[in-house]
Amino acid sequence: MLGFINYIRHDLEGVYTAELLRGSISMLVACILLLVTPSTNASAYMLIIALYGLRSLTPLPLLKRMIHLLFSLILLCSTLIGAIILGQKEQYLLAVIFSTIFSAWTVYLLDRKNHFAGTMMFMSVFMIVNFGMGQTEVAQSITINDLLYSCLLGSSCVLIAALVVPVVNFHWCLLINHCFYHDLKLLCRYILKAPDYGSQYELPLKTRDQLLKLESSLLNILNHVKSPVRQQLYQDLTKGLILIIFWPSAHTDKNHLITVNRLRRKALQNIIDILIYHKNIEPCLEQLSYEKPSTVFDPFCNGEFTKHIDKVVTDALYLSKWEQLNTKKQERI
Amino acid sequence: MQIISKVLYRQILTMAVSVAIALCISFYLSKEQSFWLPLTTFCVSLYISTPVTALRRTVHRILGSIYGVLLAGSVILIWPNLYTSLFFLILFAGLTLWSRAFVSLYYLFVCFMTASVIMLLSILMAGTNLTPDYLITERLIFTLSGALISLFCSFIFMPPLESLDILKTYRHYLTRFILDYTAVFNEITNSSSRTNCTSPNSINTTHDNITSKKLLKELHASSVAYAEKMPIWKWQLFFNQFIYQSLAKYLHRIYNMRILTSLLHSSLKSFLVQELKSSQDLYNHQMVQKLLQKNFITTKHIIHKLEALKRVDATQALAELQKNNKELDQIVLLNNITELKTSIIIIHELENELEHLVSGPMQHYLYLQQNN
Repeated sequence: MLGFINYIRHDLEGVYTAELLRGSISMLVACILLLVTPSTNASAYMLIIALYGLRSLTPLPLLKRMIHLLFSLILLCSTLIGAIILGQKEQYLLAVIFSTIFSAWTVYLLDRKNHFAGTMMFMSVFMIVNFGMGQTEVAQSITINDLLYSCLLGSSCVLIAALVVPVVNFHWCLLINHCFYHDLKLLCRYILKAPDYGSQYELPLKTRDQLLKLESSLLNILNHVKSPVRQQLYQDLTKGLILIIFWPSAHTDKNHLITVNRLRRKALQNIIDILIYHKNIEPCLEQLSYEKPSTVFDPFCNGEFTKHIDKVVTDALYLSKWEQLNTKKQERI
Repeated sequence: MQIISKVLYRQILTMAVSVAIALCISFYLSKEQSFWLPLTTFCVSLYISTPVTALRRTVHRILGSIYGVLLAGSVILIWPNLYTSLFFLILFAGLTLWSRAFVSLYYLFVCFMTASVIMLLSILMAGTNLTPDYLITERLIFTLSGALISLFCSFIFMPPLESLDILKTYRHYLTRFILDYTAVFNEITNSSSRTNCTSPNSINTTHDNITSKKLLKELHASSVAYAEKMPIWKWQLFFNQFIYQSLAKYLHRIYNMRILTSLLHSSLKSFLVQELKSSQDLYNHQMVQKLLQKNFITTKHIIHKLEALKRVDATQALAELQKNNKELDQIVLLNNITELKTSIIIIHELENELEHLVSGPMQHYLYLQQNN
C-alpha cells in the first residue's frame, strides 16, 4: 500500500497512469496480433511501433489529438523503414548524418518544450537502432511490403490504445484523500518522535528534509482535491500545522520552550487521534479547552500560539465532522 | 537569455559530436548489437546541462542497464519460450511507463526499458544464432562504452556551470523571500491605513485570505523546487559535501524565513488594526510603524547586498537592523505592548536567520567562485 501511495504522490495528476494504461493496452493488442496474424520476418517491428509509438497526449480535442498521433506515427514508421533500408544497403554516412541531425534537433526541441520533441526523440532512437537492426542477417530478407504491413498493424495498436484510454489524466478520487491523511500522519509522527526543539535547526538534517518533503507533498495534494470545501478544509489544516511546527521559540526562556513543545505535541497527538484513529472527538475538544491558558498566564507568546493550536485542532475537528457527514450522506445514497 | 542559448548550443554540440563518434565506433566494431553504443550515448546526452549531470545520468544508465539485464536475463533463462517473452514484454513495457513518474529515479526507468528491449530482441532474434546471454553481455559492454563517450564529450564541450547555477538558485530564493516580505509589509501598511480611516472591524478578510493563499502556494512552489533540485545538487556538489550541506541548510533557512514571514503577517496585523484609545497609544503605534518600516527597508537592503555577494555591506546593514530591532524591543518593553510579543520573537528569529546568511559558507563559496 505504501508503494501505491508513493506512486500516487508522484503522479497526482494521473498523467503517467493514463500513459501506463495506454502503453499496456497497445502492447497487449500488438502481442495478440503477433500471434494471430501471418508471421513475416518483419512481424516483430509491429511490437516496436506499438511500444514506442505512443506519445504523451496533449489536452486537445480528441480529433486533434488523434491527428497529431497519426502524424507522429507516420514520421516514426518512415524513419523505421528508412533506417532499415539504409542498414540493409550499409549507407553509413547517411546514417551518421541523419542520426546526428535528429539527435541535435531533439535537444533543441526539448529545450523549447515543444510537443514534437517526443516524436523527434524516438525518430533518433529508431534511426540508430533500426540502422543497426537492418545490418543483421535477419533483416536482409525483409521487404518494404512486410515492413509497411507491420508498421500499419503497430500503428493500429497505438491508435486503438489512444481511443480506449482517451483521457489525458486520471483523477484518483478518494485515494487522494487517503494520501493526504497518510502524509499528515507521517508529518505529525515525525514531530512527535523528535526531541524538544526551539528552532527547526536543532532537528537533524535528515528529519528537516523529511519534514520539508512531507509538507511539500501535502501542499501538492491540496492542488488536486476536486471538492472546494474539502480543499479549503485541508488547506486550513495544513497551513495551521506548518505554523505550529515552525513556531519560533528559539532564544526564549526554558519555560517558554517547554510550554511550546508540550502544547505542540498535545495538538499533534490530538490531530492524529481525531483524523487518523477517529477517536471520540468531544473529549479532545474539552481537554484542549481545559488546557488553553488565558493571555494572563501565557505571557511569552501573547496567547497567539495557543490561539493557533486551538484553531488547528478545531479545523481538524471540523474536518472530521465534515467527513463523517459526508460518509453518512454517501451511505444514504 | 544569452547564457541559456549558450548552454543550449553546447548541449546540441555535445549531443551531435558524441552520437557521431559513437556511431562511427559502432560501425567500426560492426557487431550485431553494436547499436547499443550510440543509443546509450544518445540517452545519456539528453537532459544534461553540465558534466556532472552527465555523470549522474551515466551512473543511473549503467546501474539501470545492469538491473534490467539481470531482470530480463533471468526471465529469458528460466522461461525461454515465446508466450512468456510476450507476457513479460507487456509487463516490462507497462512498468517502463509506470517508472516515468519517479523522475529522480532515472535508473528505474532505464532498468525496465532495458528489460523490455531485451524481451523484444529475444523475440526479434528468435531462430538466429544470437543467444540471450550473448545479447546480455554485448548490451552491458556497449552501454558502458556509450555512456563513457557521452561523458567524455560533455567534459569537453559543456561549461562547468555548477557555481553559476548555484548562484542563480541562491539569488532566486533570496528574491522569493524578499517578495513575500514586501507583500506582507505592503498588506499590513494598507490594512493599517484602511483601519485608520474606518473602523477596526472592517478589515478586508477576503483580501487577507488571498494573500495567505498566495503565500502558501508560493511556499509550495519553493518546496517542490527544493525537492526536485536537491538530488541534482547532490551530484553537482558530488565532491564537496560541506558545500552541499551548507546549501541544504541555506534552503531550509529561506523556507523557515518564509514561514516566519507569514506568521508575522497574522501577528502584526492584530496590533496594527487595533483601535487607538489614547494619545500614548497613537504615539506608540506610530513609533512601532516607523521602526517596522525601517526594519523592512534594512532587511531589503541586506538581501540585495547578499544577492550581490557584498558581505561587508550586508554585515553593516545587519548591524543597523540589530540596532533598529533593539529600539523596537525597548518600546515594547517600556509600554508593555503584549500584542507585539510574538512579532518581536519572529523579528528576532528573522534577524538571526539573516545573520546566519551573512556569515554562512555559501556567501564565501559563491564569492570565491565568482572571483575565480
